[in-house]
Amino acid sequence: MRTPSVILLAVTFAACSGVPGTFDKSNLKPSLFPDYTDVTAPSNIAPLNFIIQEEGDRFITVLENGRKSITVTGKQVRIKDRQWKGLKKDGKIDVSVYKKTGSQWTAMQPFSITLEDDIDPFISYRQIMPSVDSYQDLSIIQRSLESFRSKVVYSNSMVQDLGNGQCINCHHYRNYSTDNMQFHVRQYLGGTVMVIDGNLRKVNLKTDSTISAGVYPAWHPTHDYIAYSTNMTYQSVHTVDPNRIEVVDLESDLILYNIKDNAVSVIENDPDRFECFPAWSPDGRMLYYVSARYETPFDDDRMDRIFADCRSIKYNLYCKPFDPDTRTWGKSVLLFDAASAGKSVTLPRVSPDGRWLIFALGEYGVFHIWHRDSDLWMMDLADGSIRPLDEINSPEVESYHSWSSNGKWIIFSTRREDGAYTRLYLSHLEADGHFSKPFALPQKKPGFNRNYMYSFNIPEFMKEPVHITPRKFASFIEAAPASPVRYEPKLQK
Amino acid sequence: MAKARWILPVALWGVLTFFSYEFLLKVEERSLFLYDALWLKDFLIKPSGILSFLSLFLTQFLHIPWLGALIWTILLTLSAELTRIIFRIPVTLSALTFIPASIFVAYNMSMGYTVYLTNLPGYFYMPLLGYLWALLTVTVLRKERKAAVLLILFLTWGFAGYYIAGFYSLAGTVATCIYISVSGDYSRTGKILPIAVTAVSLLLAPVAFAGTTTYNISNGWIIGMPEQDYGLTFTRMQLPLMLAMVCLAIAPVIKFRNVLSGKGITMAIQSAAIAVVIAVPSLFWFRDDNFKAELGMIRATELMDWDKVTDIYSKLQNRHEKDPSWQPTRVHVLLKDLALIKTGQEGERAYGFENGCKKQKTRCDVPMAFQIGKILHLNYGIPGICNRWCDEEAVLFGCNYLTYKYYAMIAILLNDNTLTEEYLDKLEKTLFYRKWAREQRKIYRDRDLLAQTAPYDMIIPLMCYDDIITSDLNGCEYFLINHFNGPMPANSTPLYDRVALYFALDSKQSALFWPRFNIYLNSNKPSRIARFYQEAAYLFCNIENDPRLETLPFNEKTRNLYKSFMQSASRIGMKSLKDARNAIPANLRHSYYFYFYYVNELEMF
Repeated sequence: MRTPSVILLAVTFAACSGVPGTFDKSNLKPSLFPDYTDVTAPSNIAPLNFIIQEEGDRFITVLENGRKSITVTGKQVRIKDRQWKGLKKDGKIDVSVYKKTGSQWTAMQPFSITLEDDIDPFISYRQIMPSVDSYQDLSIIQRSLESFRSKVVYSNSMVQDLGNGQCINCHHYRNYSTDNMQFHVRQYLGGTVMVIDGNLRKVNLKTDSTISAGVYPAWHPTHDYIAYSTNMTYQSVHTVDPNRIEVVDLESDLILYNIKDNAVSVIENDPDRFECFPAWSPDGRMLYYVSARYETPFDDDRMDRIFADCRSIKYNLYCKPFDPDTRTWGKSVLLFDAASAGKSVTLPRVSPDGRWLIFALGEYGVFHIWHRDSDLWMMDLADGSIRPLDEINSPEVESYHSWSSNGKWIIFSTRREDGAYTRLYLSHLEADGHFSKPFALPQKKPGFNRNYMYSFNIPEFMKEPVHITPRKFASFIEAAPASPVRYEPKLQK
Repeated sequence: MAKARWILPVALWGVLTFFSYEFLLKVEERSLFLYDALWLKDFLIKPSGILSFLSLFLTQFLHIPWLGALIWTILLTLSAELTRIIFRIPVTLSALTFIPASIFVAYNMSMGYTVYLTNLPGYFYMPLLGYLWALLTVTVLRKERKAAVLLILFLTWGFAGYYIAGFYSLAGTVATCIYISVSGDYSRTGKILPIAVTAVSLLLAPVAFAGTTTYNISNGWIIGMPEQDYGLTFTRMQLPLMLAMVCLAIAPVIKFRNVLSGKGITMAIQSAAIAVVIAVPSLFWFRDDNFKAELGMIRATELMDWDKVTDIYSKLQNRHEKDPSWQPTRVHVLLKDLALIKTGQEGERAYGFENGCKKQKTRCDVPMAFQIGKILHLNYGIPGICNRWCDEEAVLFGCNYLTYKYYAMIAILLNDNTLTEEYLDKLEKTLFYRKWAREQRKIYRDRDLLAQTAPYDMIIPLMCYDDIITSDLNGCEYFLINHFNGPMPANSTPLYDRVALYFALDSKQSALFWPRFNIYLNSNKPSRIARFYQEAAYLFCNIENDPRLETLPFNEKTRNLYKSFMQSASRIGMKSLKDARNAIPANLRHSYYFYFYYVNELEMF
């Protein structure tokens, strides 16, 4: 008597979990969160889990690659790592979504996920809650792109207590390797924490001749130098503008830190200009940066005037030749006069092959993560042509971006999902110089981005994880005083 | 005697429910419990996170103060009963068992303004739950007699318990060691082993978890207790909780059976214990009429019960009628003004109340922005600054129900629909705020409906100015004054004109008053000019010999009051401002004239 029940149960189960026998066909592709329809993803990426954002009573999703097929029921499609690896093998995954409303099944228009070109296995980013003054909860996180594992590199909660706040920022790696890396610790036990060939060092990059310690870094690809901007940065808030926060520099210059000599020299320090965001060419013979002209006295009202005028402060893109052997600089060259087009450039980053330069372009200022009009643009360094990356951009902010070490991928920060919290998106550079449809960094729980009230900024690729443990960083930061650096006069060719 | 020990909890419940409900509501508002797995995960990564999670679960019930108070009181009573049972304390000495509970009551109810600054999620329940965990620790660990099992049990409990309850578990393990040491039931090895293992776990548990989490390792031994900040010292934040745990350590040492040998001694101890149990909370309970009224006014403002805001103010003022030293705090004044503006009564009633700037009874500086910054800025149509304070609070103290509510309202006002959904989703995952979230969902996409729905109907018209990049520099009141006394927006609304006029009136500057008065008359077209606007206009006309003295329709009452006031003022002559102020007859005190001449030196925040 028991056998028929088992058979009946099995049939029922098959009917429940398999593809429906009859269904209507929809002309529409399913609405997914995150949207992974027809994306090109790295061949070593973690499973692209998603939520089906369709009305319906039941859902079946079939992922197949010709040889292998998996079926997932429900609105939330979470794919096991082992299954995902099997699916990825052929370089293309076809996805069909079926939804049942009442008694009627409907097949949505199928879509595919194309898998190409490996990506660096790790990224790191800063996890931060948006705020103006408070920064009690900051962490630099490293995340595997091949899985969902993430670990803290360093968190300010490890050392500070609430009376002694500590801001951490600007993690940066030399040529994607974590044996040479740095991040800044501000205020309590402050200094720039560097890992030089695996050894820790804490330095105070502020000298009497420079306006601040080093801020935005660019590690020289071939020599032991780091270019930094030095910034006197202030924040203020908008009263009714949805941009909410405004960040300006009262002063900013560029400096070069010579790691071997522990010495700092000036690259640019025109008092009537703000210079910022240095970035090296892959051969290390050209430094790209942005600069804006703004002339106003250095008096007590300077900050008020700058905030009042901030919409008229527009940064252009420059480059400056550099001879790394003699450490001499050539004359700066204007690469893109954004100001004359009423725009402002920030965050130039050159592709590893030296062909492309991506920057963020907004209406004004240099801190575009708070500017909803900010988009990514790309310059072809071969001919100087520029174009907006329309295939990537959204109506919301696109800002910080990094190239993968093979130059095939970029990761960029955007607030496209809700306008407020920075999320990380990836996109593939096609052979024709265009990017594929961007997609969100996959998460184990696909609804994560809607639920997690932190921003992820400064995404940087890494070829390997950071080997130094968070506690080792913490102990070092507590124990080591920030050693002073020597100031060297500017060298000019 | 056995039944008498229930009197204390019942009395406590009554006091909490009927006299401290505003405070309980504030504790609840500043906490958060989400029915959400991702949110729970955040608690699982840190030692004592589970305790924090359970505490937040219980804190949510303070939303219904009588219920929250009941749960708390029951748990306090349970802690006393368990203490009695575990340490075999006779019922005739049962008051002793309430001593830790009385410390917890004192600890929470002495909080006062600290409620705005405490940064430990679930702090209200954590000491009590921690104590219960410590009792459980003693109960479980003392049962075993075999050395090998004791070793494993102490080791496991030492580390696992630390993960669950942090400091409280360590304290419980130490108490168990003391219990075992003084007990005659254990072998020599059975006594030494637990002490040795406890010493190891005390030393190593915080270090062991330090590798997987990111807390400051120097706080590892006190994890689960609120941290010190904003001038809140060890004595205030941690010592009381340590004292409560000391009770656990002392209890096993006292031979209660021996104490009972003399009835007189028993009575004396019981009486002393009752005195302590009553005295400790009574001494430390934060009692401040101004604070209580502030909490009531803030609550009424959140609920947009504007009449209640002014009622609380009036009652407070009446209660202190005979106390010449009494003054309202700026929180009272600003919320009263807001309520009057919302109901259109500011011109008629604003100076009918006492004004002042009584220093709040705080142990440390509690910025006004943390108290009413969000309420004021949102209601005065400055969502950007409100957002700033939500951000700061979220970073410093963690997101709470109110933060999400304000975030949602800001997103609604700024037309950020996806963001609005995210915040409303959060509130939908709560027990008591989901109803509010669902109501917002019904209205926020329809801008016309929104413009007619409170509180947006009175906020959107105040957002008629061009965006300004600014900072309130942590001074809410100064910021509002500068904001409304700044240039008038090109497309100002009647409501904005009315508010700007009131701020001009309050600033006593005729150069600001007159243009705003004219704009107000044109846009609002009042059927009659409100009392204090008349008084201000009449006063400025007189001071400046303005010909409008004859043309404006001042009523007789305004003219006569001015005359009486000036006669009275000239009679008083050159006294100190304070003496002169007190010499002005009561019927003239609640006039704009009095405010103009005698209400000075107000310290603003």
